[in-house]
Amino acid sequence: MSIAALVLNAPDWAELRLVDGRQAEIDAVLTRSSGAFTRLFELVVIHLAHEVKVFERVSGKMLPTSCPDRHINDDGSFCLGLRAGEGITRETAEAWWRKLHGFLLCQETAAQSGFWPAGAQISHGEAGEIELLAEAAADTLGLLHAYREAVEFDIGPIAASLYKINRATGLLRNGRSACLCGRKDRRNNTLLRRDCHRFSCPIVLEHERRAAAERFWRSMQGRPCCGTMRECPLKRT
Amino acid sequence: MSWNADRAKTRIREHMKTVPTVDGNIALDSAKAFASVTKSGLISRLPVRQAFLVEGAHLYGQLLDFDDLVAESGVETEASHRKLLRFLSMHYRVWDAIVDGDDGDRIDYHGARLHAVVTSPAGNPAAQIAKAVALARKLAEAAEKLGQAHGFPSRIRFGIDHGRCLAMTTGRSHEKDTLFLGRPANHAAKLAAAEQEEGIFLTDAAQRRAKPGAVRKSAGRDVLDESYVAEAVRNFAFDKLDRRVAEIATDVVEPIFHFKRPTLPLSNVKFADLTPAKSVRMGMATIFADIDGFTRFVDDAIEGGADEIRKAVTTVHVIREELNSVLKEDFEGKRIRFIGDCIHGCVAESERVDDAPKSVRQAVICATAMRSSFDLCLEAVGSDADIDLAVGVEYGPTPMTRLGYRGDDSVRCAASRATIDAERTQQGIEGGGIRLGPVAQRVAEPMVRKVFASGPLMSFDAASDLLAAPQSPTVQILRSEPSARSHVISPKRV
Repeated sequence: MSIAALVLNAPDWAELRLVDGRQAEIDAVLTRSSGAFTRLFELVVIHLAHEVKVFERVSGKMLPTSCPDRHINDDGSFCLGLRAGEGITRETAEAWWRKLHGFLLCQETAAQSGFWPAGAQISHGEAGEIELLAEAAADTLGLLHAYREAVEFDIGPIAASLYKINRATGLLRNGRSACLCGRKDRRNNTLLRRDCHRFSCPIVLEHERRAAAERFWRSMQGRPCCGTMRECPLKRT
Repeated sequence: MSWNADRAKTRIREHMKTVPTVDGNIALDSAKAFASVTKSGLISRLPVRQAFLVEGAHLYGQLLDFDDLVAESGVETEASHRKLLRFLSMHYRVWDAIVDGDDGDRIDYHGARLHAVVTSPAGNPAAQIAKAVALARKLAEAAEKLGQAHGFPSRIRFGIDHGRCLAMTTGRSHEKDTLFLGRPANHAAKLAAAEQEEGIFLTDAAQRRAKPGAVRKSAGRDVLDESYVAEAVRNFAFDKLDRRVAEIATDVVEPIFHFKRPTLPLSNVKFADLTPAKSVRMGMATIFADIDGFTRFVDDAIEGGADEIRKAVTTVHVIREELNSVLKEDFEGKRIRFIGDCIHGCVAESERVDDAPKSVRQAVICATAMRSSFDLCLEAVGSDADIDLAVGVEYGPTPMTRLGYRGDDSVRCAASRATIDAERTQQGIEGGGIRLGPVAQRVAEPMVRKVFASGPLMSFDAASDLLAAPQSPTVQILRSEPSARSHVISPKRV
């Protein structure tokens, strides 16, 4: 069903080769900002259990066999987004292709520059889920830009507030002070820090995200580094 | 406007049609051909779209006090820039006197640097070097006299080398540039900029070709023998220079510089419209883009004969014309001038007030577009030359004007701390790459600082994605599909 839905919604830039009920081979060439083409990506999309996964047909031919910062999982499958391969139907197939489109363009950029475009990724592992929660919370407070700055560059008011977190509790110290995120109650009074975390305080969540990201990289220790990314933590292990 | 691969390819095809012609016997006859077109003493009157081999002494002079005049108490103001331009104007007026001479020599200057090529007496390297030494001494004396008269410091450091260079002139009217490519021009410039000690210095090559006894050891260092300098000054008089110095020393009327903010884009600024009283000034990003390895490439070509020279001329012509097109057409910037194989340009982005982060961002994207065009140029000319592009970027308030006496040939000038630091930043790059000056790094957006502060110069496409440029398809995808953000699952779930 998923493969059929993808085949039906295939975009111009993807040429479908061998197709059966469980998998399809795709050749993809995309257009970049300047109008120049990307290299030819030779891919296979496979329906496995409850999701579809996409891989390079010959692992390691153009892309690393696995690399967290290139968003290629241990099994060589691409990570197109949070739960991107689940529940593909005719309605959602188009979105899946758009995700693959963006992913392949970012692969070209990463290969050339050693950086993945910042807005086109979320943190690895469970830190990704926390990041999305924090973004939503920050957005309601008008702090989305500040939150992105904290995640991407460790600067701005949210990053600057992190040192006020009690590492033992994971919450902001001085609970009876006004929360640094500026969240207000219905009477327009700023919430106290001890109350704010119940409403997803972006500062507290950013602390959690960083802890989760650290756990992720600790779990990756000892894995080989493909050496293609300029700031990959695996380079140091 | 932005960079487009197909448009660049079309332009490059057009640049290929305007490559300067190279005489088949260039390696043999260029001295004769060159002599025939330099009677006026001004090589910029040398036919456009022709390349020559020129043998002679190259003299570079560096105004050592230029840096200190850029700012007052550490701040660049209109007043400090006025003073800086008056200082340059004074020196340029003296230097113009040499141009006005009729002895077959060539002089050019940009910012704090003077470049003279001494080609006479023809076929006599030792005499050409002696004449360059005499000219340097005369200029140093003139600067001292004028400095005292006008209240300016006047220390100059001169570097002299000798040998064969490839000369070519391109451009029109106020935008014309003559380039000298090859080891002698490059080494003389490096020697002049190497230290802060004033004086006249010869490269090893020039020392070998100078008259025996020209150089002696003093405290373990090679210095010019004073009797050699005195003899050179006796043998080569620069009468016009002396007359001009006397004239300027007593001339109390100095150019008055008035600045106004230019109407953007900068590409609309025409040097023909600028005079001291109609100068422009605003915060802008300065770009110095240099072809790394080009001097070696040209030297090899000169050794290789006419065919190799023709290839080198084609390569440099196509690359520099295309870099100029990228700057002007794609990023609406202003070329100040070509300096050898380097292009000096400015870009600015602003509404009503200076916008430093946007200007730096624009300069960085422009540099990456230059990189992409550079690669297309090498592909188009079929060159396997070991050359690369090195780009320095700095930001700051910068005035633009024309200085000197020469009418159509007056000197295009953009001079500021940003100009100085952009060039120094570029010169600090090993091989190819990009580097931002200290101010540009401070004012740049975080992503620009993270990716472009120092490192390899990536393609325009990669830069567009990383800086989320509006034309980036990645940005457009994220706009239509916000969840298209890559991720990696935890290893335990694998």
